[in-house]
Amino acid sequence: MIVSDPLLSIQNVSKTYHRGPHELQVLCDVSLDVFAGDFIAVYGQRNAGKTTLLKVAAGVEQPDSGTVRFAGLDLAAMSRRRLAQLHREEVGWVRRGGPQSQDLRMLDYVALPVLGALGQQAAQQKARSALAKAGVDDCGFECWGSLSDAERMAVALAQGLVRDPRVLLVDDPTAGLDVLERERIVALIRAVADEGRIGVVMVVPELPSMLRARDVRSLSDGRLLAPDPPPGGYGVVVDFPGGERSA
Amino acid sequence: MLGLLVERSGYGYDLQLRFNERFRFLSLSEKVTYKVIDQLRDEGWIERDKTKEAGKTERGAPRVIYRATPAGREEFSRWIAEPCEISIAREEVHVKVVLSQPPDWPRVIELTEKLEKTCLAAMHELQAGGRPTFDQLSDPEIPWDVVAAVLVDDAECARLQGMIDWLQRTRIVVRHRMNPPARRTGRRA
Repeated sequence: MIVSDPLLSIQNVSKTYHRGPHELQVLCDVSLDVFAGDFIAVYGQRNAGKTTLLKVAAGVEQPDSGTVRFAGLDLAAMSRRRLAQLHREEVGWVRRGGPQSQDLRMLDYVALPVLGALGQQAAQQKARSALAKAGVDDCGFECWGSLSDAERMAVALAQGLVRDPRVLLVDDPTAGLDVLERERIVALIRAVADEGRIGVVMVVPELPSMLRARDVRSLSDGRLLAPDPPPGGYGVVVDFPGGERSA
Repeated sequence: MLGLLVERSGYGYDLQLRFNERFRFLSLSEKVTYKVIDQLRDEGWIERDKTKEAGKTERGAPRVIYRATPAGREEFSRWIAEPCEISIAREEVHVKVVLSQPPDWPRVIELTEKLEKTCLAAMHELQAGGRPTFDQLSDPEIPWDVVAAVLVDDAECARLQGMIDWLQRTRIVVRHRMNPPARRTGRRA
């Protein structure tokens, strides 16, 4: 079996924020490999360090220790220019921030990351495809303020996809969505991973959003935990009066 | 088990398989299966179904097929309508946390991490391929047992989330008791 190198490799990363005299350790010896076609969901409660994990993975924040490699290249050793190119072309960051200008049409907003490289016409063409892929091709001429939460998330996903990234980092895509909208958004993200070309890391604050992911982790107090099934099963026992226990 | 026989007739091994398939996080041994069959038959809720032929067991003995009796169907309907008990979770880990002393706290942290990994693995098992979405559950074309399995998975997911949240909170509190943090003024993460 041929095992390719990970697209994104986070190894033994720690990160502490300093607030005056206080230290807040947000990531503690975190390791995670992301391959093409992966869909890894990371569960964490509020302030668990989920967004910091994504920022470190994208090279937006530097870890205090440990390494982050993208396609084998150490992000810490990359020039600003190469890092900017990485963010422009290879890492799609999906979060529901929205455009600074409330008057911007979503077609133009989604086209922004590729506007410089492709020019307006080609960038808009790519944006149309990305909006269609995210199931919101009818939102191209709408403004951010007129969209529902679910539409905003789908538009954010389209903007993440428009640059044809190799890694997609998705920050809390299901916040404020009802169960049906949540399933629709996560199914869209899963479909992106299923194409096998992109590795996806999604952080979420609730477990049901992880049901469509291929791999799950949890993040708490800076530590990233991976599943570990107990050797003897889950120990759920059916016991009837007069019966014997089975595990 | 009675419910499975109300659904359709079956023999012991078939019932054991159906039970374990339908209730993925419960497991029934062969011994318990036959014990329950005996109890249901003694109550008069199931009987041998002589109209059906099911061949022989691996050992060559004829398979006995059971079906629910009218009294069994009545009992099943009564049981469905009966109020359910909500069990208040009191897991072994809760007892250990209650009884732990400061020297035990590193082991409590280790234990909660192990349990959280187990919960994650259980969560991972819920991720069955081809599982219908909630959106699809009202489609009459989808068989009820598939719909019910999704609903039960949903309940399991909620239980696991509750457990993981509690394990994480417990670990944080225990860590902070061991090494009290400086007073926090807010945190962005």
